[in-house]
Amino acid sequence: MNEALSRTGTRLRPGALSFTFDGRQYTAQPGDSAASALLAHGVRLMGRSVKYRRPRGPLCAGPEEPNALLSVGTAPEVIPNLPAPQVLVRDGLVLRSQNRWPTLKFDLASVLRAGGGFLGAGFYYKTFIWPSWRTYEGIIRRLAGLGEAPGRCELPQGAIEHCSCDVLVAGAGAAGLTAALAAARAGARVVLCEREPRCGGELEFETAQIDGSSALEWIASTLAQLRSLGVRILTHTALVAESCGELIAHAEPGGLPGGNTMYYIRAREFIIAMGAIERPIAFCDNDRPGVMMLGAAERYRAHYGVQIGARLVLFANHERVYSAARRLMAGGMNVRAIVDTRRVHQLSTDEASSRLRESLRSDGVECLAGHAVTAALGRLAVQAARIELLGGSAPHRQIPCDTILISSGWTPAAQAGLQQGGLAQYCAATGAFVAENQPSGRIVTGAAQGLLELTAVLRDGHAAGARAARAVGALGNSGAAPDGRGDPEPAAVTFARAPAPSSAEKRQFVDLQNDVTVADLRTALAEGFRDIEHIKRYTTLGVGTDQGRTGGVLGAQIVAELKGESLAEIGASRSRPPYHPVTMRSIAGFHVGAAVKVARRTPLHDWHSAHRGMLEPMGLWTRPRYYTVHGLSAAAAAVEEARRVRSHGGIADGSTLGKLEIAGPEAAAFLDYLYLTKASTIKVGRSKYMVNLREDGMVLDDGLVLRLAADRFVATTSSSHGTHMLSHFEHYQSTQWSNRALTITDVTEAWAVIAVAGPSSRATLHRVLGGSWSAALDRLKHMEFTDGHFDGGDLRLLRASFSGELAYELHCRPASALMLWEALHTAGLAPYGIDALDILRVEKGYLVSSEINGQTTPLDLGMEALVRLGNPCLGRELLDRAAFQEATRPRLVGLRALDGHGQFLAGAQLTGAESATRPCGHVTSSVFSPTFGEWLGLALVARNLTLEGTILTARDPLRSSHTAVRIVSPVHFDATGARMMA
Amino acid sequence: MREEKFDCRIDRLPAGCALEFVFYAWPTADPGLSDWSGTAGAIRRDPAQRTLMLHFAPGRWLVPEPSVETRAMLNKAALAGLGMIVEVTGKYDQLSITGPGATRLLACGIDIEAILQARECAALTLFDCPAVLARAPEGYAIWVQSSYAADFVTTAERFRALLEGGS
Repeated sequence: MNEALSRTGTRLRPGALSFTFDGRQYTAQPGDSAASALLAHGVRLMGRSVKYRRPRGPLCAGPEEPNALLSVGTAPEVIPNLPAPQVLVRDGLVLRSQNRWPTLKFDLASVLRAGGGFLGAGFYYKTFIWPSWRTYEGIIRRLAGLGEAPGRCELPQGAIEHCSCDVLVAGAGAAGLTAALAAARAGARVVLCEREPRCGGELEFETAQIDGSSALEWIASTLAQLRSLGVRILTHTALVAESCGELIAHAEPGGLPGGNTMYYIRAREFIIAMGAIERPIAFCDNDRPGVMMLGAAERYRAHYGVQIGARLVLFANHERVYSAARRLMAGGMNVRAIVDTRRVHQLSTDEASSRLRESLRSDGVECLAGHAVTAALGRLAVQAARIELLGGSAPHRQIPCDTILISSGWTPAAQAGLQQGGLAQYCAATGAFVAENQPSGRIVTGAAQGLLELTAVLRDGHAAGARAARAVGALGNSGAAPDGRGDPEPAAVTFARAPAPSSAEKRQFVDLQNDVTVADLRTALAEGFRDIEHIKRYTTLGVGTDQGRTGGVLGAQIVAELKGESLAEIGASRSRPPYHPVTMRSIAGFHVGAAVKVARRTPLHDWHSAHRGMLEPMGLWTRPRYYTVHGLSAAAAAVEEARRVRSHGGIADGSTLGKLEIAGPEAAAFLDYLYLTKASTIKVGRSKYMVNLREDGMVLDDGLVLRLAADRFVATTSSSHGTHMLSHFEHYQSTQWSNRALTITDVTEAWAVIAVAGPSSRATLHRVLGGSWSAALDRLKHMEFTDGHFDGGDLRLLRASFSGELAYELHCRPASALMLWEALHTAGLAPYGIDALDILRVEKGYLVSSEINGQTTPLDLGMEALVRLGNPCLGRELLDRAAFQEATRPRLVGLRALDGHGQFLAGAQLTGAESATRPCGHVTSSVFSPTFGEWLGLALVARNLTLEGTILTARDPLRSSHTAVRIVSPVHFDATGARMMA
Repeated sequence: MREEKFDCRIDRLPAGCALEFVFYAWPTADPGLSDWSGTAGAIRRDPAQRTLMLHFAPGRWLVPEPSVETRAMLNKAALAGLGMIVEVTGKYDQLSITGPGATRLLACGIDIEAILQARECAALTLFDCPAVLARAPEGYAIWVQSSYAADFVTTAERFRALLEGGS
């Protein structure tokens, strides 16, 4: 068949696009899907099945397509598994079929078809036991899987949009359009989303009259009204999930990533009008290319103008097959026979239906009631249908045909209604399940609720829209429900599979994507899998990209038949989001690559970066670990920086310190409550090292508290704890100190901090800050500060040390930080990073989160003197618990290698002489000290073993290290503090 | 489907002095506070529609570039023992996002229309960055905490490029 013959009455725009499929060039019209374009060229074989490599063509015309999954693009940038009906053809598009080698027509692995029997349900579990699964795993994995993962795939970034509306309508078929119009007319803000490129659903091909117009005219008029009422219409947009009160819809125009958008929609009312999906029928070789859903054939005809075959056999169990036959014939197709599983007495007897059947007969269509198609004949394409009288003994007959169109009714698309407490309820009218028990704010309407007759659908959709509008307080006039008449009631009589001998059941396909057959379902039942959820997992029924839309209910029907139970008793397997395949990139959102999480930067970030600072994320902050020097390793660079601070001096960026300004007449009392020692005793112009406890007595954080004025303090926190400490403070302010005269303000970013440490720090500051600061520099004692100005900006000069050296902190506004830093650098102070800071603080026995780890009390950390002051602060009472006094509680100690050379690392377990396997503590911090020329550490060790001089072993099996260590004072360096106080 | 050309501009504005004023308790019944907006989310503007004070959280105001009159007003409240002034110069970087696409750009991070439906400003997390957002004549003014500003702008620019490309 050439394309010219296969197109009639297309609604596509004229024009020609060029694309390739498996290397061969084809033409398409703008708006064509890959499936429609290939079908227009007579191409039906579009892929092979995943397990048996059976030849397959498109079954559907939407994203539920289980067979025709294509790879798009050229290696290595290939996107696999895109349903052909969803892929919008663009000029130059490269398409490739999947699961075949070397070619689609001649696939070597299809010899597995011969083994269809032994590849049944549970095959892997039962077969590859000896010698072990690993023996076969490689081969099986190479054969398994849908398509091939791309070698490289830089998918374009998707957009995100957060929006809200009064009423979200999912689905723009007859019910959805009517509901949206009713809600919008009443004054509600409405968003309408539709997964297809166009609105209308089955109205696009159904013979319908609505309010005196054709269905297509009504769709156009309704869309115009919706737009004039401000309704936002999102086509190509499928509702995929809901989470945390937001409905998530995904737009992927053309079925390809690129221009895709993830919508997060907060809707006060949610109308589910997602229609229904036509169900297939199982019969022998019902997977042959040329077997297609009846509705799909109608869509290909109505929208794309594609004649999907020259000689058609229609196989269904309902009345609508006759209307469909008439439309297909009007589209130029030759319908050879209509095979209706219903007996003659079950056919509709109304005049119109009888007349329609009669006219079809008179046009040469054979109408066979009480019959079934029991097999499709042909290999790469259907060549004939084998037909048998149901329940009779008449011999079967064959009708030559190239297409078998099937339909056994419709399954409501109820996935979205089955979340948030919605329950699946059997619906006799559809022979499937609908979503009941909807929570407030959710309405299921139209075919999704089991309504299949147009008049009822329109009324129900209108009522849903009006009800949703009222619920959001939009009380305008919703207008009248449209009056429509379409295809007759289906009057379906349940029929799931054609009769077949048990030997042929392995060729009756239920889930085409996963090659699940009736034989597989029978095996699962025989092996004790009774529940539909277990059967699903054992057989893989409905677990592919189509998520059981075509085969799910059919499988449940067949299970019911095999078990001799009703479908209502069997139930339906649970559907889970996403209801529609979504590109992982879209789910990942915008935080990808280097921006996987937000990064905070200090005002000196660019300087560090430009001066070879090795910047690394620490919490949310990005900080320099060390500054690279030619020829030095990271460890050596840090050691050199620390050595320089001890011998001369250095500068470090401390802007990341958390800073909370607590102000008001009750600020001092509030801080007294939150800290182990009193803030109220701090004099203005002084600071104090203070410790916070949690309610359970564990140390939460430590830092300096500066008293700026009688009623104003700044509390510094560790860098990683700033946000947490703000929450901690605000929690107690709002719960136990509410409406008291105090305020808490985060001023972390309002102050940059430059630490100036080392013997030369004071002299350098004299030179840099100049004469106006000289008196202050000479006067300030340890832990004192003074405020002033430097070069027009605020400057707070604090004498405090985290290195054990004479040191100062310059707190300045961020705008002044770079100028001050560069001045200090030019004056001879080199920068040092976090690694050097770690060396300096371990030498001095200062604590960080390794020691303040949420499991240590102040008593564990050697702060008895602070506890003895007796401030009745938060957490203080629990320090008196007996458990905190036990001999096995940890205690902070210092460590050195026994031989003066050995290395031990943080994390190593410490064992005593009594047991080599039972640890008595662990190393919390360790550094190589340039001051002592050996490894030093801090550790938490059971109190009964903390006598100085005690010998322990630092065991580090992961790094194959066992080092004898000696317990020493945690203050390794300058125990009297002489250097700091100089 | 977007049909119009996406148009949006992101500008970093020069940093200036900024204050926060925090009431000890809110709402307060002090009759001398008629100049203070009672509802969080309100913005006090001058006759030229320049932003004077943003009531961005209950009882908490951001005062960018405080004028003499505004300072006097804050001092009066502070002296009356109602709250405290805290200087936060450098805490925020001010940005403006303007143009017809401004709302769509910000909607990449949050449902901006819903947030500002009944208020003029709000403290929120936008593109994972803490910020104060306010309506401005041709778009939005944003005070983003300065340590986050670089990432905020990077993300916003990335979305702008994406939306421009997708139009």
